[in-house]
Amino acid sequence: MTSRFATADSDRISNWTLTNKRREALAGYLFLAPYLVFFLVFLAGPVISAFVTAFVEWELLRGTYRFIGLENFQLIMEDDLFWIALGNSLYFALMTTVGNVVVALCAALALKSIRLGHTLFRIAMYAPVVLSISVIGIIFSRLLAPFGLLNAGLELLGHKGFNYLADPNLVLPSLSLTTIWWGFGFPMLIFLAALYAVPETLYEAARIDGAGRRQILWQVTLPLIRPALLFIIVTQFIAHIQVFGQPYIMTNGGGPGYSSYTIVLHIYRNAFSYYHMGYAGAMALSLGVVMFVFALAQFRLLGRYTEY
Amino acid sequence: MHRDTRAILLKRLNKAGAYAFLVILLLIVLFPTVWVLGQSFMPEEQILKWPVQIIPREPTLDNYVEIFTTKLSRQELSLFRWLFNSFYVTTSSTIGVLLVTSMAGYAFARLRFPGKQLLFFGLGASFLVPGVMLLIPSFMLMRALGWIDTHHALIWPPLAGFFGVFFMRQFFLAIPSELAEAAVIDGASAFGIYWRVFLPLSRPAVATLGIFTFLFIWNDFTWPLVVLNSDEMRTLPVGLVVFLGEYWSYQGIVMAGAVVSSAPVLIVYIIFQRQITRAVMATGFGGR
Repeated sequence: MTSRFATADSDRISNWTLTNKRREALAGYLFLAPYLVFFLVFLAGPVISAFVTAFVEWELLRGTYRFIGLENFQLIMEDDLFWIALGNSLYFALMTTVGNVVVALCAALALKSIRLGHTLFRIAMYAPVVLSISVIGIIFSRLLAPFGLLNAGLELLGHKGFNYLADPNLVLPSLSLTTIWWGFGFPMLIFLAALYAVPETLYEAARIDGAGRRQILWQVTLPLIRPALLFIIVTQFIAHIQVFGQPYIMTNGGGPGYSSYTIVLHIYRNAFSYYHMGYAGAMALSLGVVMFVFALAQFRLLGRYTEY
Repeated sequence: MHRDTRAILLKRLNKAGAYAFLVILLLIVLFPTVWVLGQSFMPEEQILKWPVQIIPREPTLDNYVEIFTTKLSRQELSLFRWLFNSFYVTTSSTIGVLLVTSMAGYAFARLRFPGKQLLFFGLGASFLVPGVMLLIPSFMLMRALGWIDTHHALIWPPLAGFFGVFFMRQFFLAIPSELAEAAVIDGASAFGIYWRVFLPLSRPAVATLGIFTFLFIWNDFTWPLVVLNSDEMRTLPVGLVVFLGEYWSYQGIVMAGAVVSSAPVLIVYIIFQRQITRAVMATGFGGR
């Protein structure tokens, strides 16, 4: 079987013997060994113990540790806060993913059609992505404060403004807008790369056939960048459903009330404030498995689509 | 002829629309930045004025002096301590990641051994494991190792990340075999070929991976929040949130803190923006 890995350099050397083959294999394992150790300890180990933790009652403060089967999952069913938090996270992830995709796609399309200033626009728009959530959180909780920048702007337009982070209906959309500001530069670059990969001849052919701008967008561009779209939608959704820093920093961990209380905040609080490790682990595992399946499905779909 | 002029006009309109959209977006991105910078140089009296002021009338460095000289919390620490912690943790971890993952990437790209494909895809599956699932077990592991509230907890776990292995493998695969042949004929060892031929040739890839890793670890918030609990061990992003909690009412100081902690990453970004952009576009990695 000739695998796609068949690139061994020593393959081209004439006096190729069995001992060489063995030595090469040994070298391969030796090169891998350090990484494998770290992988086993810090990734494989925790993944396995995630599955164990979910089925035990593990109270760090009292020191209890015993198997309880599916009891943690039963508790999840009865935990109102879990469902509130899940609803908030889903709502936030949906809003943020859609917003990011729309803004990023428009920006990428616009960027592709211009030349002058292209680099400058691109550099500036990706810049927020490299900032940490604490900086973003600090800046935006000031910007969205009752006497912050945004309300000052609204006053110029004759509007009295909003209390973005203290209004139960506005808080999640506000966190979502903050997140879009922070992150749209990333999908923008991915879309831009996908747009550049579309052969120019396809556009010419469509134009000769008399297709209008809108037709070209919907029937040529979007179908051709579908793999990138799918990749971004799934990875963004998975990332944003795990939102934590924004409400932790900007709304005092989920306020007002539980309006911006998210699933990872709930897991964090159960694990590191109450030390219900088993219960928090069960919640994390449920969420994790669902997202893993999502990601897997995406990769299978991508595999199918990328053969155009 | 009529059709042509119409087409040209439409094309111009298109371009104008694209520019209008990009300029608005650029303003939305820049305006908060300008405001933050402005406020960080403003005396508190001007900050409290309504409507909000953008340009400092009498620029002052007081806010910056304050955040660097004030003793934070009970431990007599200054912001320098967190800045140092962040630098120490980030550089150590980045060096480790570069060494370990480039070696593994080399094995996958250039050496043949039984079980290679299986291993590659097995390790690659870890890409799909969401962070939230690892949070609690990793915390328990740190406890078991006695690494809670130590910098080990931040330095070592990133070395298990698969992205570096994948990234370096892609780069090593693209290097022509002829370059390695000479070294093989000269009787260089496998490690010699990696160290003296492949690593120097892949300097751009190593740099890019290094920048990514640096930004990723520097900015991390959740993990250091979970594993560090004393003020003197904290990294800058977490320290900032804790510290600014105490100074919350002094907006100028808060803003100066935001500027100081984003300056290092923004400088790295501006210097290496070309490599970063290229790597993001090629690998689909670098977002959140």
